[in-house]
Amino acid sequence: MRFSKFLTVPVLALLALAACSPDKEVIVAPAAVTNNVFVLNEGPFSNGSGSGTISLYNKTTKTVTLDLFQGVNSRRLGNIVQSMAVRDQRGYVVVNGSNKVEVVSLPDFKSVGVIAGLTSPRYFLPISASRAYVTQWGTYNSAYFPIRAGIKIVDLNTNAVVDSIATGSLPERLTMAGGKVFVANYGSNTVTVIDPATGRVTSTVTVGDAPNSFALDKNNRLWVLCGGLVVYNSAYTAVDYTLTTPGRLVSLDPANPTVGATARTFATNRYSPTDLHLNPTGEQLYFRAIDAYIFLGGVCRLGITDTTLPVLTAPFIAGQFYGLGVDPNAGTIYTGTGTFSADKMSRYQPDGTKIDESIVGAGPNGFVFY
Amino acid sequence: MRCLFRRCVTLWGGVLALASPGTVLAQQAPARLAAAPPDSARLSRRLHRLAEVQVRAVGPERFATGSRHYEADSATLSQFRDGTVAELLQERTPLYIRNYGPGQLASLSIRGTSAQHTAVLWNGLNITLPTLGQNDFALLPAGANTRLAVQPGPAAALYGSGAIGGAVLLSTEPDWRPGAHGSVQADAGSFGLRGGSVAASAAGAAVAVRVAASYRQADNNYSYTTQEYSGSVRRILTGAALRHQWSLAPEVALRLGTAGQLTASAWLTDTDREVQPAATGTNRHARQFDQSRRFVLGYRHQASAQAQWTVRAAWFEDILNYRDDGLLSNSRVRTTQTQAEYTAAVGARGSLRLGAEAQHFNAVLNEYVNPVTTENRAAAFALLRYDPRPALRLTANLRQAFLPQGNPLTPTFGLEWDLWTQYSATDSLSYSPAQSLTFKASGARSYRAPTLNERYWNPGGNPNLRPEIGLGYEAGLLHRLTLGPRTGLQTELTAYRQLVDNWVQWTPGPEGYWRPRNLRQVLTQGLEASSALTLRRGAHHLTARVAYALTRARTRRPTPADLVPRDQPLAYVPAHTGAASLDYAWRGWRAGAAASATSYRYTDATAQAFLPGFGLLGGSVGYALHPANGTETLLLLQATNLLNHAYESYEGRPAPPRALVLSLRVGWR
Repeated sequence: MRFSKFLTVPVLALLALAACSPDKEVIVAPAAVTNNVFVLNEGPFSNGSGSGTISLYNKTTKTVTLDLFQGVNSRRLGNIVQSMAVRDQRGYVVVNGSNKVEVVSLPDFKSVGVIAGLTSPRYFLPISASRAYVTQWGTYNSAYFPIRAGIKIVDLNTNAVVDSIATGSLPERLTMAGGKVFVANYGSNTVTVIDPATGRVTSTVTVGDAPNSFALDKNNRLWVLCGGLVVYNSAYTAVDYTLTTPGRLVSLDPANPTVGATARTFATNRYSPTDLHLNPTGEQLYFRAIDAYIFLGGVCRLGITDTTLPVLTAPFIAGQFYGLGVDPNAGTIYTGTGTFSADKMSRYQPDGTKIDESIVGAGPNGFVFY
Repeated sequence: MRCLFRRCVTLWGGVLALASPGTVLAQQAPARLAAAPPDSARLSRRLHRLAEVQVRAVGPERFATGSRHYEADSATLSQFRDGTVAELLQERTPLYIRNYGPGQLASLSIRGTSAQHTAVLWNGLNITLPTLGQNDFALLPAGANTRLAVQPGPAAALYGSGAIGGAVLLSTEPDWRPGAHGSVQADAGSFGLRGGSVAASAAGAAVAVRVAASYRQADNNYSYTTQEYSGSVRRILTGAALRHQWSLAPEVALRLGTAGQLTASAWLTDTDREVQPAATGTNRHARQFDQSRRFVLGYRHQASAQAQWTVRAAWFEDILNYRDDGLLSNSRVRTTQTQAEYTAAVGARGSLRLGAEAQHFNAVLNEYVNPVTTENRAAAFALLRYDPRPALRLTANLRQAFLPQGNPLTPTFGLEWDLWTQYSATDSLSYSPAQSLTFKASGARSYRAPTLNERYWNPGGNPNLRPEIGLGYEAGLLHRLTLGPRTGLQTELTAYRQLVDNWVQWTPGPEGYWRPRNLRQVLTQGLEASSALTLRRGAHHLTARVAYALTRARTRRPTPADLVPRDQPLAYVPAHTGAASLDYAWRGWRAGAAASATSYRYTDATAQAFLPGFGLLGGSVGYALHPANGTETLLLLQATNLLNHAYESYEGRPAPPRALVLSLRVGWR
């Protein structure tokens, strides 16, 4: 019947058109070690719906695989990719918004497990072949203050949370130095020191307002970067610089944190120093000096023997960066932009000369070199 | 039916007599081509029936020659009486709706543009939420209106700010048929859907009253599947309930003398809903309450057979209160608008409309720099329609807007030319085929005023933001074939191209906050094809429609601050969309089927990630009882997503599976 054609032919044609998709991205799973950069992309800025990704940058071919996890495992990684740690050919990807850690085998990035039972997890530190610590911010009370912050201890054989350790408020990055685990309590002015053998807190060291990251230099001094206490106005529309404290850089002996520590305070409270990294020789420190309202800023540099702190208003690499990384082999500096829509990473020589840039996923906040 | 139509034609008195038959018909179902009596007949009849002439509005589409136009017919409107404008457009047009879920935020992307590029007018007044500069079509219950039309393409001269991608025109018209008419409907459906509506109208010689009210709630607790480490996991959606949505639209029209009509209309809507969390994220228990109060008072006066003027005054209040586990944001905007227009014949072949409008906004938002923010906008327009010959119809329109941040001048030109017409040898009893082929073309400059959020948000509001400006063209062919009384085929093909400049994007910057900036140019181009078949053979009534759109929207000439490279496809603009529908009636039986297809959409700004395309099939079956007492009782079963296809319209928001709605409607006339 002529009429049936009138409708069925277009309907079939429409369905055929709807079924077509762009060519699937060719996933180049990382093969060789030391050639891969995993770019951690928090995900688009769209009411929590966006899926975070990990982009793979191949240093030899200079090519980017934009969504490595989805490409290898055919499912989404999750909401807000916060950080990633590596141990024994396993990658541990902390997915903050999805309250989980995805475990992948390296270098092929195949999903081999998931760690659940976490609340707003932030950073992951394997402390042995069978144990890891995860910092988590916990839940919030009715006044939006975090509660149940601390560390969850994970059994790496079963990927289950087995115990917890209380820390200070908003525990962020954590590191192993001098046989101890140091935890930056971003919501206070302290570092919690834990003996990993017992899982007990051995001391709480006062450093400066809002410690956020660590670096262990070639002389085994532990550097603690404190961003300064940021106070917002009551409407949360601006930073109140009359109450905001300047950042501080502390160096201490991890074996004896309370003896012989030095602390230097930055000249301005206008920028908050954050995200400390070390060059391959352990002599240069890099960090971002961010505007505390948008969390973006330029890269500053400091030698471990420098007597004066860098001027935060005149960064070493000027820009609006959300992510920073330093290649532990070549010393190449990596930055990521923070528009949370169309973002890119840029690479620089250790002296700050720009090499190139590539499009990556949305909101690149860090780089893992493998 | 025919006599009713004749009367309708007759009522197109006054200025409307100037319209050639082709004009009227361009907007109507093809069947009316044959039904329309010759021009002379209409004129002579009009003279004899002046007493009955109503003061009927000259619609803006009279000045929109050369543009595409979609109008939902009354059968379609009545099917969606308890639904929203979003649902109607999604199921019945190839327009692409960005939909977070049932009852959730639904915004329109016409011809590849963004949600802020569609002007939404209710009774001729812009009802776009001034803070966001866009409309959530899930907040607009369809049943409150008696007319719903979409005009894709730039038409700022006619519809003002935002008409870059197109305009959605909602309106109510008093029902002057003597006596009382009405209907009551109750619905129950899958996933806790409950709803109902009442519509009633009554008219005497000088007064017409109409009221439409509807209510709806839904749990939306459907199941969906996600891929997790352990494999496919089936979950039940939570935190996506439509707690309640109601709409009340009363209207009173008074005839004042033989030449005046005063109309008072109101549209009150309340929607309380949970905001569907992303499947990959955590449920922050987000909840949004939207309340709109809209009042308009209009007076239309037929000064002579050649001239008509209209004044309108409107007051709107829009409340949007959002809260989740960590955030509380309340806003209230009051809009006062006035409009005046004068329409007059220019010679025997033209008509001219001159008008002006002013808007005053008063916004109360904690997030703005000032606790109370006000802004004024105004515009003046001149619309000219001239038909040198009945087969050649031209319009030239101009709007000068006055905005705080610039005064865009937006002209529009349109042309319709009947290239070929084959008349039927017609008398009122027998028909032979008639057909015509019409060439249509139009060009327009369009603008979008920066929204209140873009200008006053603290921090970041950019008072120096320039209006977005579009420059677009379209051309197409319209073929109409009439096979008999109410039987015909209408096919239309349109190609368009538009460049939007000063495209606004929020980006972080050295000032230390996110700020909207005029960052880029976007070029949209595409093709639209549609065909509608209307058939009436004895007791069989059938309407079938197919429509397809090919859309391409890409960035052009980015500014240095723009990280999006040149020639990137925009996110959430599918290349292919299509819709097909079939409505069939035989005696008391009703059956309908609707299919729609949407191709893949990129979900990010650099066109890397995408959501796969999807096709949906819906259907309905019903039976209407017509006892002798003049009532109609209709029992209707409607199904959506019949194939139970799992898909996401918006990333991370699983769309509903197969769902059923059972409706019972009792109408009387």
